[in-house]
Amino acid sequence: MQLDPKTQETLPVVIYTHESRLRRPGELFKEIWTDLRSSKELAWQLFYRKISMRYRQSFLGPLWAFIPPILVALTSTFLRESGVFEVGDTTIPYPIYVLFATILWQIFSRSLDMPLRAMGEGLALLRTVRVPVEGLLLAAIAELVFDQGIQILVLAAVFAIFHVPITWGVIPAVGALLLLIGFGMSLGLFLVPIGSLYTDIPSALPYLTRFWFFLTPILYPPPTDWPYSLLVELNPVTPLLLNVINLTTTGTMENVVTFTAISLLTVVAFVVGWVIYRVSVPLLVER
Amino acid sequence: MADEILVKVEGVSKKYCKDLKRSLRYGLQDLAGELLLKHRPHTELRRQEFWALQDVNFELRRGESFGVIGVNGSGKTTLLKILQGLIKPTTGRVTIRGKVSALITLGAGFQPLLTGRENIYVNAAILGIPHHIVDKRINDILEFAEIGDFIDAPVKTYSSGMKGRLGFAVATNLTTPDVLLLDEVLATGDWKFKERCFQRMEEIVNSGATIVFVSHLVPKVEQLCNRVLLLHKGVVKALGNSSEVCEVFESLPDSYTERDLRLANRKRKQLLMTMKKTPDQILAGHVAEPADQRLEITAIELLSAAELPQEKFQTLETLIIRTHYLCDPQATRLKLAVQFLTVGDEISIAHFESFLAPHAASNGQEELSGYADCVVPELALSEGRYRVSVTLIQPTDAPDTAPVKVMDLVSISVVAGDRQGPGTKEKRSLVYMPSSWRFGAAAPQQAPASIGDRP
Repeated sequence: MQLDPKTQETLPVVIYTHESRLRRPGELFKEIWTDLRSSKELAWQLFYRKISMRYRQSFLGPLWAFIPPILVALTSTFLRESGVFEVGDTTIPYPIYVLFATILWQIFSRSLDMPLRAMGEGLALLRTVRVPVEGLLLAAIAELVFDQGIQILVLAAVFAIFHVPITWGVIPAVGALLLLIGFGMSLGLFLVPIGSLYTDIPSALPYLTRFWFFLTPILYPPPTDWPYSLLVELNPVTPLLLNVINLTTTGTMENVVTFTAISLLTVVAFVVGWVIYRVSVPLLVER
Repeated sequence: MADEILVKVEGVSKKYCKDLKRSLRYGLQDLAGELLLKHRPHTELRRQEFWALQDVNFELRRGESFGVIGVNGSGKTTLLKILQGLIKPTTGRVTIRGKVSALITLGAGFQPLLTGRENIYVNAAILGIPHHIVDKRINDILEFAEIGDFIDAPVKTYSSGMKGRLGFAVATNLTTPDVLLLDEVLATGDWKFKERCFQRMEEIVNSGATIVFVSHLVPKVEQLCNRVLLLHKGVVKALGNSSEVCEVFESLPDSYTERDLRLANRKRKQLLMTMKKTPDQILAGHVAEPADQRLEITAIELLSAAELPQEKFQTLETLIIRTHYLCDPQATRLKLAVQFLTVGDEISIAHFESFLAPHAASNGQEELSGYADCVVPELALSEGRYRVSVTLIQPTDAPDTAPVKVMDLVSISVVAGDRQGPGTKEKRSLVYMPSSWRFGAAAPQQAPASIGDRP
């Protein structure tokens, strides 16, 4: 093979040592960045594989993406109509509020779960081929956006059918939604190193999330009397989740200070979590 | 440019833990070390740990093909994983220049429900190859894989050979790596496919890539590689010229000891017992041998021409295989088969059969005892260890009953013989054939014109 001398010089060099990767943060960030860019194709293929596998062996196919949110909406309406439980007033019709909040909660809980799950599914692959781990995460994010995007479509249809007004606040609401995903993911990224070694964490996670679900104003409007108002003030998910709803339906924001604090925290935690995730992969692969 | 070093491995060691629970705890410790920026390697072995790889050093230049051999568990795969960057070395440093591609598992990430064609794209993405390159090369891949119309069928309907072919086709037709790492990927597939794989690998070597080839197939390593590393229990036993290192590998302490022979013998006997039984007996867990079939090999002796027991035989020496047996006095005809096998029973080198009439004298019991000699006037085996297997069969006249069979094994050592002429010793082959050499110069006027005046 005739090699151009120019290409010779640009041959990439990689070094593997026992040393902690964090000792050379510059190189590490550069590597994360290149891997992130080069893993788009991988992420797309993994995403495509996942989605097409999911519906290939089913008769209803992609319809399955619509069935769960519609069921949730129907059930909550039925419960409300039958008067099984009394709830306070919400700014928008109650069933729509519940549907909206449930979808948002699902987005959060799946983001929380996602890094661990992506790692668990990808570990077999990571043991045999060197693939950019970023690709696994990107594919998982794409899957989340796909699934929840369909649910949001259903929600939009419900808004239209019941003539619930949507304000221009829907645009910043998308930003708040991204923060909600980012917050869930950064917590999830921190769980990866321990959770991949010990199965206790993935086993306990669903129970913790369910408990957390009831501590978040989803099935009920946000309480205003003390001590129940603590649910809003101490639960970091509440301001993110409520502000997505508020921005969309009324165009206003509440708890701005807490919201800002959590947003900043999310950005920092996300970067730190991603780095931890990245450097822990080779150590997790060998165990 | 040919001197350019593509792979540099310096003092690489790796330790593993045998115990799972402990391993997880060490995993956490290592993780903490990683996050707390430790920079000194943890070189002491913690409890239950062992060195899977110890102080490996080598350098590979462009265009080199480098073999790594060793028995199972010698650390070959660990080394490859470190070279790939899948795991971190405990100590030491690996520097790799250029694009690395690895063939460790064929068809990594094949999804059973997707079609072969879809899987090509997924697999390529896993190997880091963009979509548009696959589009261009897809015909080459299909041609190499020989899957035909099945390419649009789900991969779960494929045979393992088809999957292997597709995986190899994807992995080798899409990339032009600078460094290619190959593990025992060619363990599956028929010989025709293997042959093509080796051909492809040679093409890749010729294209100027550096190959690291990890294999058990020592002859192939010798043929394909110019330098070889021999690993034994994680330690480098030898490194250098391929034929020399392969020789060291052959001379490693023989792991096929007497114990293995006994085990092999016992297994075969059990198998024979099972074969004798009817399915009902097997299901009922019936172990007892049918009482009316008395047939036994009591001993196998390896004798010299002078009929004296001998431990080692020389190539071209006379060998007598004497089988002592017991049989039913009513037996009129027995069949005896002698077989020379490689250690591990992979290859049958020679097979002799004969019918015999048990003319042995009665030993006063209800059985007849006797012996049969199989005389090999010139033992054509090359230097090495082999197995001699003897099977004694009592054919039955009844059409429905299976013949009674007994079997026994001994091992034989062959050393280079005096009768072989100097310079004719052939190493690492099974059979010795007497041969001689003749040399001559072609008369100039008779030489074909196209060759010209070559000496």
